[in-house]
Amino acid sequence: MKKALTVLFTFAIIIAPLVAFAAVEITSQALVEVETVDEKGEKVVVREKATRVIPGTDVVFVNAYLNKGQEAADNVVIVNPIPEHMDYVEGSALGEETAITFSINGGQQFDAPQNLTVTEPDGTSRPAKAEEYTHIRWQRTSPLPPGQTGEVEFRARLR
Amino acid sequence: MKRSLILLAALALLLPAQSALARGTPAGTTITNQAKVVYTIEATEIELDSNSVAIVVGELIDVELAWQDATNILVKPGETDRILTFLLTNTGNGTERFLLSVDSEIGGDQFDPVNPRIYLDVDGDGEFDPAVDLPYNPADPPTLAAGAALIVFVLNDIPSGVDDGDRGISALAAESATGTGAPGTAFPGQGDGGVNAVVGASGGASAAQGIYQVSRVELTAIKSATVADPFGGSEPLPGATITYTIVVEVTGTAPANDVRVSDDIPEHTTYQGGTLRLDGAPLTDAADGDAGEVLGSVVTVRLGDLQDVTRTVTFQVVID
Repeated sequence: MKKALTVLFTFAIIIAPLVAFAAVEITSQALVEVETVDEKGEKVVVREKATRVIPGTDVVFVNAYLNKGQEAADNVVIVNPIPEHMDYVEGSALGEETAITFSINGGQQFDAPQNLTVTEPDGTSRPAKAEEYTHIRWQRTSPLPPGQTGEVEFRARLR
Repeated sequence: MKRSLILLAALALLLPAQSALARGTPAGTTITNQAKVVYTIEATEIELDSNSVAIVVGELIDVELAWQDATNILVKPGETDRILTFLLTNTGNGTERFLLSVDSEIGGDQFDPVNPRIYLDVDGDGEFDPAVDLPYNPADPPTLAAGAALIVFVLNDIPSGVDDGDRGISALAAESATGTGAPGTAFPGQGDGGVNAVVGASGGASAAQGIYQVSRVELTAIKSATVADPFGGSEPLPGATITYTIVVEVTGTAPANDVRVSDDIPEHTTYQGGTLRLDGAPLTDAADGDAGEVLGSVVTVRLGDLQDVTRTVTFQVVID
């Protein structure tokens, strides 16, 4: 019993400073766009929480982030792997005040789409296809002040 | 019940080999997304994961039925149990049962095949075997995993009184037991493992037509003889030469296979060596690989497969 208490104390000491620093939180949502008709009889696209989707469906993944701390966060980078069984939809990554780059090698390197090339077995190279992207990276171009929120998103299609 | 269990077991064996056709992520698969944020505060880099958000893949109901025979099935009037071969493929992403139906009384043809029946190729060999392959049972329709395929046979009888070249169509239809409808029609909770099932581009149904074509092959063989006596006349005297001519004529829309002419040398005559001809071209008398020979008192000429053609065999004998 005494030993367990000691372990807990040790954790508390380590966690305390981290909590103070862990000021930026991120929340991921999966949404689908559904076309409905509003009160005026006009067609509108509404985003609903995606729970069950069928192959061929586009899912919009929205990552909302918030600085809950007292100090500005610098060099804010959000990285999202493309989920398994899904293909990134070309041109769908959005995010204000961010530079967006992509990886085709599991997140080891990121670059703009026009700089991503795939080398074929025969030695020739070609531009990478959107479905070959493995990760998306959003790099904020400015610090995130305390209390500030931001949102990035992308679409992926279920294979 | 025992019978249906055997059927299911056989199907299960059949399915993995053909599952390469699977389309779409399997129904019931859970897909998760998790992002991370990395940032710096006072020169300390901090990394934090987002929550993990999960989506379950729903079932897409799709089916494809295709007639497999390369050409029209050639039939003769009054034949029974003539086979058309179809391939039923589950092109959805979940396990589905498929209801089958056959209709031989449709338009666009010259006759209606009769007594249509559906059989399942239980052993998966692509050949109809009445001892093994079971008749389709509407109470126990075939179950196919995503991407799996099953060969289905349709048997019909051919009515008598049909003419050469007449075509008869038999249509096989398949529909998902879960349901059919316009693409997008949903069946909540009715997919694999209780996920939603949604009708795909096929509408959850598919149909294909197979064609029978009547082929009345007519084969006639007419034998004639001309006599040349030693005196320049045509009297059948001893020493006179008889030239026999056998004209074989085949008509119809299909070949007569392995046609063979066989004729006995008449008594009191002697075959004249080296006089056997096929369409005027000499054949040796020996059995040596060419199309004909004379062995003992029998003349034989093999004409092979003949379609819409006339062949002429001649040989000569001398009256003893």
